[in-house]
Amino acid sequence: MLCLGIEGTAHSVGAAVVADEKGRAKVISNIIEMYRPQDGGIHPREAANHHAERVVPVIRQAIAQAKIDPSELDLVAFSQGPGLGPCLRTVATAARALSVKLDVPIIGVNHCIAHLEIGRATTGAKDPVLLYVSGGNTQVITFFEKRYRVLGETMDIGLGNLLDKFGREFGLPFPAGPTLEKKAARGSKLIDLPYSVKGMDVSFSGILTAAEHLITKGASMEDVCFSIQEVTFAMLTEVTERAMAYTKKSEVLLGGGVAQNGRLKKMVDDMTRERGGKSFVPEGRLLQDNGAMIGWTGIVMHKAGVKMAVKDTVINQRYRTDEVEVVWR
Amino acid sequence: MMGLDISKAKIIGIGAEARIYSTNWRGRCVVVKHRVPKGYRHKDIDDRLRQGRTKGEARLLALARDAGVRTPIIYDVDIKECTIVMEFIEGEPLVKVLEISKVPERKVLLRSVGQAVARLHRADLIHGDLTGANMLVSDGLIQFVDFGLGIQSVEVEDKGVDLHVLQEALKAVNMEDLFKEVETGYLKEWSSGKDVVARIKEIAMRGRYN
Repeated sequence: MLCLGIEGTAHSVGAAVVADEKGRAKVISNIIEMYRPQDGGIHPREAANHHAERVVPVIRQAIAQAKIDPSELDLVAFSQGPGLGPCLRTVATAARALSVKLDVPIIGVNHCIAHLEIGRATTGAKDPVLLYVSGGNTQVITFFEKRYRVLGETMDIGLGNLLDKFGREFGLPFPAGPTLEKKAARGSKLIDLPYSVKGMDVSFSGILTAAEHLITKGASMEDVCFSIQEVTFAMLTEVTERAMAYTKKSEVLLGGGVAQNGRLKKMVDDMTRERGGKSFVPEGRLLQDNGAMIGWTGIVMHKAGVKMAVKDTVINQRYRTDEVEVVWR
Repeated sequence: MMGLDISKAKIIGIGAEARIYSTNWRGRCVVVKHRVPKGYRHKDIDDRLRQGRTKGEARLLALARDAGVRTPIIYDVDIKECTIVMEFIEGEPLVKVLEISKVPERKVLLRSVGQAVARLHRADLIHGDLTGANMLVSDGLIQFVDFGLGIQSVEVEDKGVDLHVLQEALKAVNMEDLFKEVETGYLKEWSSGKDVVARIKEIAMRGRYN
């Protein structure tokens, strides 16, 4: 079974051809193009314009790289939400057109769940707690009582959003995470930042304000970056551990662009080892927003009998993780 | 801590941040709560969090007693080691007692839970985790343990959330309809708590899963 997965919830548009190989995901091609604003944050309509321009070339490239003919596709899956409305509508339109043209079924996929499913299918994690950290999303998700539940999440901004806003203020290129990680590696002095954990929820906006204030007061950039990482990652690791204790699970899976950070990976791995558990990290391109995770989740849902007519493919900007009926587990 | 050898104590519970032991200490049956160091995080953060939380929990336990709520007596606090030594309370978790009780007994129990929570809130103490395992029934009386997520607050919101957690916990064991007994006890003890009770509905409405 071959599925074309199309992703476009935020700054990235992606397309991938994925095959089902005895229940494991085989990613045959996975093309990602990121919209990088010249200044300021992501303007939803401008990002959508970028996606509208690039979605067709990206799909063509994914199909060409997979060395298949479009007629060989059995299924089209797309990111139905959550995300930026104009972006979601753009890729949904592309997916619908393709599904009608090729006369194959279409499936709308929840973006957050796709991060979890691609991790399960490529890392060997069976029943993990997912720590999903990206620009817009910061959530702790796991399968519990028949659904994917959000056990903890950010009460204000996503962690990636904190890093990007901080970066924008002080001239780090977008996305700021990789540069910030390099600077942090040269820092060593831990500066006090507001550690905010309530139960299994976290909040980051106080840290952003405090960090910006520190830089304007003349603190070293390297030390501030180091402190941002140490404090925010400790918060995330702590709530992940709480979720593990609460659900009695021993595996952790990382997802989202920020999970490419080496320090975060190490902290989570140290924590799971201390508990006698195991942590799993998908390869970099599968951590980012990508079409492969959408395509794979589409396959999983299709095999479980999920069917959608075009009228069911309306996008949902606030598509909650626990709205999805998980019929495949 | 003098004369306390935690390595020989019996573990009775392991949470995400602490280990709970029971042992004998100076001729008494005690519970020891030890917040274990977490190697994954920076040592300064680790020390600050564990010490701050140990201090905060000990303070809340003592203040709750002053407010007229049954909590374990604290015998010793070691900030450096992040341990609290407290009275061992013979009792059953509330959730278990509720499960084996008949409806009239359940109502009596939940009304006294409401009264006790009202005493906490009147003193601006928030428990932070009012779930079935953190309340013990001992000789028919409600005992509060584990103030690990507790705070001091004057806010109606924090008090409302505190009760909402209890409401959710009752829902999980299919006793949601008995939550009104908690409210009855709460208002009987503290008539000014009506703002808090009114807020619970609002909090439930904006809840994540509604």
